[in-house]
Amino acid sequence: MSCHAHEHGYSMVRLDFFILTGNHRVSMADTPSRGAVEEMISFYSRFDPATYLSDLESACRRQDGRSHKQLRPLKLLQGILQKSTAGSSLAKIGETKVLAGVSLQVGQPGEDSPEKGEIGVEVNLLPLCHPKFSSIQAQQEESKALENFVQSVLLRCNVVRREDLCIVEGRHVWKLNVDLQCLSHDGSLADACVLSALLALADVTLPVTIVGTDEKVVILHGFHADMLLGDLSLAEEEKIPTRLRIAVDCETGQLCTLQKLGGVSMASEHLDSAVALCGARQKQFLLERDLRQDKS
Amino acid sequence: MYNCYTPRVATKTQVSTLQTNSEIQAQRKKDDTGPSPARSESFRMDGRAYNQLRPVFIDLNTVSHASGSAYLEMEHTKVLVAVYGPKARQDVEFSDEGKLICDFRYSPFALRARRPTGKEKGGREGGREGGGGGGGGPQRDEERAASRTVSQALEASVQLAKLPKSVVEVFVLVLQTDGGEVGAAISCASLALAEAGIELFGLVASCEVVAFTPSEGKREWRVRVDPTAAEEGGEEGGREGGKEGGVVGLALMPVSGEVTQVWQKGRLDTRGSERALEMAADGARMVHALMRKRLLTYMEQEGGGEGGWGGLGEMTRDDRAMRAQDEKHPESVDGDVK
Repeated sequence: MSCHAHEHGYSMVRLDFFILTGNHRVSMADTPSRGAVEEMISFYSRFDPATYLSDLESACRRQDGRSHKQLRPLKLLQGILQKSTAGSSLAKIGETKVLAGVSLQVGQPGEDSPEKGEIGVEVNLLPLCHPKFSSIQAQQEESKALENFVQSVLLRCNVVRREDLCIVEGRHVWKLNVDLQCLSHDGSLADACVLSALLALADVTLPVTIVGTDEKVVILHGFHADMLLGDLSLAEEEKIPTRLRIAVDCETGQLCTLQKLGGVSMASEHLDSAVALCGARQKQFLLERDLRQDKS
Repeated sequence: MYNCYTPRVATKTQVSTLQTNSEIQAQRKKDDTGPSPARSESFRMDGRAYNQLRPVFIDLNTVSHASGSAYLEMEHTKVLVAVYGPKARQDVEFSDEGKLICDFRYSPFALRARRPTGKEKGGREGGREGGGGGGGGPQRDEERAASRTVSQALEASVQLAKLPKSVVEVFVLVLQTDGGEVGAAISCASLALAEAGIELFGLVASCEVVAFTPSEGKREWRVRVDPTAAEEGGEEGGREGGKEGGVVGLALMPVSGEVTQVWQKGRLDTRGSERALEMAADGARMVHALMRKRLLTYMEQEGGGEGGWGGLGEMTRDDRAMRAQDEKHPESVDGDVK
């Protein structure tokens, strides 16, 4: 994107802001710095979210300076809690941080699947990571939804072959407890949860067998309010009700899970470009993973 | 060292007063001349000197939406603290003084054996002490006890009289424990409070010490600063077969020399206890030096230049004047930070 377009995007927003605030305009230099503009846009977005959204559509930059489909940088760390977990990892998407720890348990298999192990997912959202989780209802509401989503991605997409978790058929199987602890919440939590869970599972070495996470899955939030935004930050999540969760297979690029939650209807071409956008996260993920493997 | 928080590799800081190997050896020789020839007094399982801390790594401003946050790591013990507030107090109509609330929690995978969180047990028992903004899930007993220890250690350091009608919430999350997590939480929380710009009398540094007798019946005490979990308990022969002993923790405000909290687990006689407390105070001073150093480099990086406070970006002039005042707090209170 050219520098000119960048300037254009900001000046549109700035103009409206001045109109809205009338005479109470903030004294600004003619060419405001990026930080100052960011601050101003954040005020403005709270002041009049509806206009903000319609402006966002025509402007080419978002609050944090990204373009519509630009993702935030992804950082992955593996094997960081070696003392207490069988597998662990930290996923960082921008300022969102999720720590995953896998612990092992031996248990009895269910009657209908005597040769299959189990995977349990638990998401912990404490008021530490964001003040909105200060009540237990708020915590549970979001964590249950995330748990279900992560679990469905892990189980339905065969991330782990559950047959590998069998010790003695019908009697003893491994149960993998995946605990996801959110450390800092700045949007796209589901994305960070899935990625850190995947990486933590890949880090697990069972006493006898190595858990094969051969089919890696990558997920991405595409979002929509008549335009498509990739990887929403928390401020944006609060304003944009429509969200799209897509999981694709990391190796083959096949679609694994697709959810559209709430909000307005969307055109099918947006769906196509949302799926295509997953490729960007997929690349980030593969790059980070390979980087890590090179190190070790 | 594998660092939990940042992709940066942790700087290994040798915190001991004994810096070089030759000095450590000289110290060991000195110890060997003591009454117990069997094992040098400074022998430790991980090769540290008896008064040497584990490598400490500190990171500030790690939780994006918090007023202040800090992450502290002592090898395998990893603690994250976020501070929210000061905000309006809900539990009483008016109060002259501010209130400090602490919520100490272990993450489900913090300990070796995974423990179910409150959610699985269902129901809410008790919740957090104090008013504030309603707690998370139910705390376990040891978490509640640790919450109290941490909040008492910090209360004395916060200028609560300057925060009428408000409450400051301190959330502690232990990511992994290998001994000394309560002490680490206190030091870390104090850093987070300073980073949040809350006025303090000084930084509180904390250190734990294990003291034990080498053999039964003997009344000579051996102390080890900053013990790992193995050294703390009898587990895995941590106390070198010693029968009697205990862990002493001390929270100290080195600037004013005030002790804000002391706790002890296990059996010690007065002499052992005294020695342990002296050691702990020395340890706390070492921790304090590290905390201060990190806070100062952080200020230079983030708060000093045009970069803005905590990465907020460039600010308007009024803003900058206001922040500059904020920045002064930790410096002006913490007498020798300059």
